[in-house]
This record gives sequence, C-alpha cells and structure tokens, in this order.
Amino acid sequence: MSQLPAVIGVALLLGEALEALRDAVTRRGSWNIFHLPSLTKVDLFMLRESPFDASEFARRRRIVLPPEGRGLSIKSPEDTVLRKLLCFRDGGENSTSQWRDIVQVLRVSAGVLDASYLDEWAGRLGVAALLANAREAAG
Amino acid sequence: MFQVMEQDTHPRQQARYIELLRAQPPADRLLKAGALTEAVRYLAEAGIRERYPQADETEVRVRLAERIYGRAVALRLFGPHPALT
Repeated sequence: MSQLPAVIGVALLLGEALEALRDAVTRRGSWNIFHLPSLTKVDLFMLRESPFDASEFARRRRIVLPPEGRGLSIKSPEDTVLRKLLCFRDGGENSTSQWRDIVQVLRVSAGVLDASYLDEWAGRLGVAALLANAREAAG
Repeated sequence: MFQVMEQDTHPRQQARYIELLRAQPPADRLLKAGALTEAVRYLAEAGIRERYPQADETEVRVRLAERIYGRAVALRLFGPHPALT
C-alpha cells in the first residue's frame, strides 16, 4: 500500500502506458499498472456515472493499516458481492475464482451484511438469481 | 454452481476458519492477504531459481512475471527476452 505512489510513478514514466491509461480514463474503462520492483499488478477501474457506481463509491470504508497508521479506502462487503456478481455474469458465469470470492465474502460477512441493500441492488442489476444461488452455496 | 472449499475441507474446520476470519478487523485481513501473496510469490521465485540455476536476476523476474501474469504481460513489462521465446 505504501508503494502506491511509486506504482503510479512507474506508470507515468511509460509513454505508451500513459496513453492507454488516458484512453481508459476517457472511456471510463479499466486498466492495470505494475509496480516493477515487486511485480505487483494494480487494477484500475474508473468510476462511472451509473447509480450503482455512485452508491458503491459513497459506501466505501476507511481503514487504517498498522503499524504505519496509513489509511486507505475499501469497498463494503455488500458492494464487493454485487460487483463480483456483475463480473461473474458478464464473464459468462464460468469464473470459479469470482464465484469463490462471492461465496466466501457472504460467509465471512454473514451477520453484518445489509441484506435489504443487497436484495435491492441485486434486483436492479439483474443478478438476483445469482445472489440467491450464492447465498445457498454460502450456507 | 461451483463447489467452494467443501471438496477438501471438513465442515467443522471450515466453520472454524470462517469464525477466525470474522474475528479479525478488515485491516488485519488485508495485511494477512498481502503476506500470503508475498509468501506464494517467494515460493514461485524459489522454484524458478531451482529450475533455472543459471538464470540471472532479470531472467528470474521475467519468468516470474510470465508465471504469475502470463506471457503477454511479461512481454509488456520486459519486452522480448530469450526466456520468453
């Protein structure tokens, strides 16, 4: 996390990557950059203008990482599930890693999830049936 | 749908695992995930060094990038390298 500015610095040094990144921002698409010393990939998803993007971004949570005490924002578990359900559906429903993540987030966050928020957005996004399957798998 | 964990983990152990995860604050979970990623990367790098004992540091990194992200990404990051031919 502390190396994020360095990651961005590396990306900005590469003209070709910078053009692609600029294009991704313009299209509100996604792009990835690498921190070369650690070979760490950072996926960048541009904030779009959909109501779900707005809700997802507004519900982000701030956490502080010990021992440096640096803070960063993370997505809520409900929005993690919903976003991954969208990715799973849009990817043809054959990604075992996406499905595993969805089920595990439902399991680990059981008891603290906002079920009504999940149900409302799953319906609006057209992934209610997938959410039902995931809940069943989560037990 | 896909099976998750059930195939190789006893239900009681799985429940205990989930319970332990729930008890950790998000920051701790994130740090542990990072540490696990680092450990897996270290093992992969050790495997490459064992398989290619003559490889210099650049070749190890090229092969590691290919192993983690695939050939296209390794080419993007390092350009054409003999290890990628």
